[in-house]
Amino acid sequence: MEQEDLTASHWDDVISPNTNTNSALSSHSVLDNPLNNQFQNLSLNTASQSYYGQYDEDEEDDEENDQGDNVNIHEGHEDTNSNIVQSNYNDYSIPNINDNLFASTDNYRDNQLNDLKKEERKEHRDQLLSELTHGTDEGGILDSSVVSSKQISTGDSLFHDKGSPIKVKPNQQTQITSPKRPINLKNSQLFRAPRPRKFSGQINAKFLGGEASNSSEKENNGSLGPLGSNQDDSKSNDRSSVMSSTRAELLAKEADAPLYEIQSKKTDEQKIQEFRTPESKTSDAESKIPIAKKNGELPPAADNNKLVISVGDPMKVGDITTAHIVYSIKTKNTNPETKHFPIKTEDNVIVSRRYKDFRWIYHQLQNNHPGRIIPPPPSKQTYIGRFNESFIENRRLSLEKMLSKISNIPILANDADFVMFLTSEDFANESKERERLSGSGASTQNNEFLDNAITANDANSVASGSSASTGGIIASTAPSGGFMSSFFSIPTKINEPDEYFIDKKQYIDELEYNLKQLYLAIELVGNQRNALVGVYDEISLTLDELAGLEISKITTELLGAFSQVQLKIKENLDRVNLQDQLTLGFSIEEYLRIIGSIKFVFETRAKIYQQFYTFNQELAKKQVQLDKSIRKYGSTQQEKLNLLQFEVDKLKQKTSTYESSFQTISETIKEELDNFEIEKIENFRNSVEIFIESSIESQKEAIELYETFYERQNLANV
Amino acid sequence: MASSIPYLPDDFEDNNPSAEPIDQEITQNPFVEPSILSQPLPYDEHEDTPEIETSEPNENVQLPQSETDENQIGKLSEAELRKLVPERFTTKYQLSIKLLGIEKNKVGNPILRFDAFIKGLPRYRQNKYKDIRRTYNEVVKFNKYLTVSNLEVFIPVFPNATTSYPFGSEDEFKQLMYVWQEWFNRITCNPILIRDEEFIYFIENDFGYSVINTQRKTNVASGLVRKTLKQLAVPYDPYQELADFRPLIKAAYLICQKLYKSLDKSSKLQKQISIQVFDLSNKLGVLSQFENSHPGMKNMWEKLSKIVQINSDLDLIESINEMGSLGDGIQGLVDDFYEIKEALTNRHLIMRELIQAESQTQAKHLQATKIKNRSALDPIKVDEAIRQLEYATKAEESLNLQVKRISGEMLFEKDEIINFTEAKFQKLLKNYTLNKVEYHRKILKHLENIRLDVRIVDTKGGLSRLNRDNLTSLKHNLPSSQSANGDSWSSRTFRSLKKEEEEREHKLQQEQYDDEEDEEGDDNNHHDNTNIDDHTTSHSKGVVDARNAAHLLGVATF
Repeated sequence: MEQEDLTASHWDDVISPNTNTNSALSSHSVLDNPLNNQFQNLSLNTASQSYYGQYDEDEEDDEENDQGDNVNIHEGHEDTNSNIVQSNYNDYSIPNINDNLFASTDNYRDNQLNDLKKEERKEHRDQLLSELTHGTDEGGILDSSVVSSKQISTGDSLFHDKGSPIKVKPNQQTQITSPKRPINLKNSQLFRAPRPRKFSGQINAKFLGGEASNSSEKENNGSLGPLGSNQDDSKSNDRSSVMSSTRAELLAKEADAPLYEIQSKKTDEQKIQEFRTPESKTSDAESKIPIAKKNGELPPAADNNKLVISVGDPMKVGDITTAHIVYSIKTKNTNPETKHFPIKTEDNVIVSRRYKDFRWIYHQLQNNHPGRIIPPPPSKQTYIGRFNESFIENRRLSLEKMLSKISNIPILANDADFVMFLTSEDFANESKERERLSGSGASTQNNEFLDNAITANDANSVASGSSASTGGIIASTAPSGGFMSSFFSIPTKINEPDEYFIDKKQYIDELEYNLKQLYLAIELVGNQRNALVGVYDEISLTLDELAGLEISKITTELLGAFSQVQLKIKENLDRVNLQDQLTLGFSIEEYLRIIGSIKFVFETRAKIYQQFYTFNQELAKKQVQLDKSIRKYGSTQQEKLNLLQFEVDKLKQKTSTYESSFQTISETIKEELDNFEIEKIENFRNSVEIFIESSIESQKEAIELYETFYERQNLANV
Repeated sequence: MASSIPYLPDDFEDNNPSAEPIDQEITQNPFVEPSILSQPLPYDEHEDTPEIETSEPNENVQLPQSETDENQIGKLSEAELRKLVPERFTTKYQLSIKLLGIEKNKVGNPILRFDAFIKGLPRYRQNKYKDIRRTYNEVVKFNKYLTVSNLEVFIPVFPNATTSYPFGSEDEFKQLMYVWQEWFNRITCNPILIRDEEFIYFIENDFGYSVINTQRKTNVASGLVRKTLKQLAVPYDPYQELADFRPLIKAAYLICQKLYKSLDKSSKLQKQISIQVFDLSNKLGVLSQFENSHPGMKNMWEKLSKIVQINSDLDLIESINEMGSLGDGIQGLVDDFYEIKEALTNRHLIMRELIQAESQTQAKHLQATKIKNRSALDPIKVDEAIRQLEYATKAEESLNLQVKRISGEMLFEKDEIINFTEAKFQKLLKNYTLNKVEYHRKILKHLENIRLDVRIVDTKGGLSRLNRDNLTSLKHNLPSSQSANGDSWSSRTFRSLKKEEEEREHKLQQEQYDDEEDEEGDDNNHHDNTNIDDHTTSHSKGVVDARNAAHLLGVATF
């Protein structure tokens, strides 16, 4: 996942000073948000409230990892004029009240879970929405993505009527995020290159100064582009705030909404409209777990994409150096209600994509939905044999399966990138654009899990080794190397907190090993059978020759017929072989790739956990330091203490952010794994059934061939 | 042969050598030659490609020669044949051997135990010889002797003691019993061979057997000479059928060899596949052990693993059976064809000798004529010349006769061989087909057995439900597709092996009832044996009763 972004956001966080109380508040609010949200929704009238909620919502999509006080921080630094502490207080005061009112901690967990799920869905929706509204306007997107601090001021003025400085910030945030949702994509980047935070006292000191917030903002915007969104991690939890608005209200608002919804000028209505989706999501969210359990089924919500996708017509294009196969993808949207599909016609949308593009969408989805097991594309092929017919057919089938599986998972089917993939006329540019915006680097991403799925020789060692060594350890030191490992000279082995994942990891590893072995065996049998097919051919030819000798009339006839039988048996065997490969072989291969996806998800989770762990430790250290200094200096060196305090707060925020995102991803993974199990059983059962039925048929055919030969040649009387 | 110059003693005994020239005789040749030469040269020995014979109408081969040979030069009339191959025209002599059992001995050299029944053959001391025991090697020696000493016969090769079946198995025993009995039958039904002196020794020797007539060495070229001679152009062969026959046999020999190799390869591959499939079944087994969360799934993998394992076993058996039922037979044919080819080559060599003898005679004749024409006659020289001429003529005549006899007999043999090959192929393919059908049927049965196990993995009932939601029963469409009533997918009534077996049994009983006890339990080879047995036994009784005759007509394959 995208660590860089994370760090970036951290930087922001660090920069903006926070008081202890604020952080506490914020964390509190994070936890209680679901409840708060409802409340907030109800009180739509309160401009600040609604803004806050909306803002949160928008941001939330982006940061699943960054939760917590970021919002506060944000506000803190954006609000140059207002007292930081005060602003924070303002932000959270209402939630706090809500908390007090509703505070039923029992529900908190569930709500949070729901929220998390909602978030994901929302993300998709938002993306889609934004795409619908602004999709073609690339320039606008660019602009919006590179929001500068100056824009904030415009936003400020726009929304000035609302009065509170807090609102300004949300506005800005929305501006940044809403177009095409580049932010979301960014968030996914959080997992890349995990960098430990180094707090330099100087920087902190800088920020302590009044100007600091502004400059930091600029820095963020300049270097990280849409990163600003990340700062608002806390919203993820808050996002439900808007949901409470009634349907009717929403509809009315929707009607009022301006036609063009460029995020920079987001009106309230627009925001509401955007939140409408979350609302429907909430309803989904209630039934979320059951839905997830049967991923194949669409949730009841009316505006999910119901896509019928077929991949066909593989065509070789390009000259010698650039030759590749292009597949045409036919998509039919059977649900005209959906908001996520830009093309409303009943006709098929036909686009052509090459293999690379499938990989792109795979990685893009991976990045967009951490924790989800994305149906993987077939593995890469060696250069030689790329244009082999059976290989192409196989790949086509795999690709089709991949797309239809993706489209069966509502979250993924509604993903803006996915829809773009299915519909875009100018995929090359658009994909690049999206990739750039999201910073996912999907095109260059190389998932070793994906490609190594079948390179089986090292299967034994890898699988056994990894299962043995990493059983109880979630991750050993930073996989991204470099900075991390130099920072911590000792590779830290972090123990996996959840027994479930230890078991699952081992299970998956073993499953992978077994499936690989099985696949190898099937492949070997297939190869041998192919050789046998060749020999049968030879026999048939020889028999023909022998028949041609005409030793006697009867012999000629007999041998000729027998040669025919052999030829047909050969074809039969060939078909059996193909069937085996296409049924058992195919699904095993597919599952190996899915396991690759799962492993990727595990790794993502491990990285998050590692971050969490690292920050946690850092926090402990700093806390100790702080305590020491307090004891040492008392109240004499307020500045230094403030600095330390600020650092501790920052770290606390980070930690909680990572903790919650870690929990989110853990939950998602658990859910996904349950689905995986269920689907696995069904898929394997089906392929075994097909395997058996086709074997039965081929045996019947063979029997029939021989029996007919026996009868025709009157062999019974011999 | 027409090209030979008949030696007329009168010419020279006349005491007036110059009185009557024998030009007439000599000029006979030109008359004969054109007609012969006008026929296309039959073939070149070393380029006998199959195309040559296939392009020629083959009906000739199958027509009884008596219809065609009279008006063709180089054909033998029946009268001539009677004179040349008298053995073919008498049923006075009968010999039959009945293989009783095979005793284990050293590896590769088992002991054959058999009875022999003799009728009408001179010099045998008994009519019946019980429990003759000969080792495999002894029989092979005997076989070799026969090959060498009977140039006019296509001697079948005694089948190898090792088969493709595992050593010492029931299948091997059956197969050996069958092929060896077949060999004995072929040997003993040949009227020339049974009159071979050596046969007496072979049967009568009390303790073991070794070739007695050892002095009877091969009287055709062998080794290097043979090889060199084979390079020469084939002598002109007036017997079209035989001329065509050798390339045919040679091609068949080569193709069968190729076929055998292919079969061998396929069998080996299948063996490998069976190993791989076994491996696969193991892997599936592991998967089933690994799957501990879902009992239905576990059950399915288990069952599948079991089925696959059975498949692998069947594959292995099949790979052996394939070679046993077809490969070994093909190998036997290859050996036979080789011997036939060599026999035909021998004939060519003898024909070449004959040509040499002819030219010798001609030379001598010329010399004698010259001497005769001289004005001053040296009686000694005249005597000498005449003697030489006489000698050469005799040699030529004997060779001529030999060639004729060989050719005549081979014409008979050729038909026998063709018939035998035909029957053999049918038999082989029948066995092979039955084997294969059984193999596939077994697999099918096993596959159908686990269908339910796959369906009950979960409540959805699998794909076979075809989306029929209200299909409550999982057991639809489950019954086995093969039953005693026939296959469900075909309208043909099931040709059950059992029924066939019964019929065979029935036939067997009838035969036993018909003639003497027939202990042969081996159903496979039963058919052919009994045919021949019937021939011999009925002849041995000297009576062919109506039922027996009908039976013979009914079942005869050649």
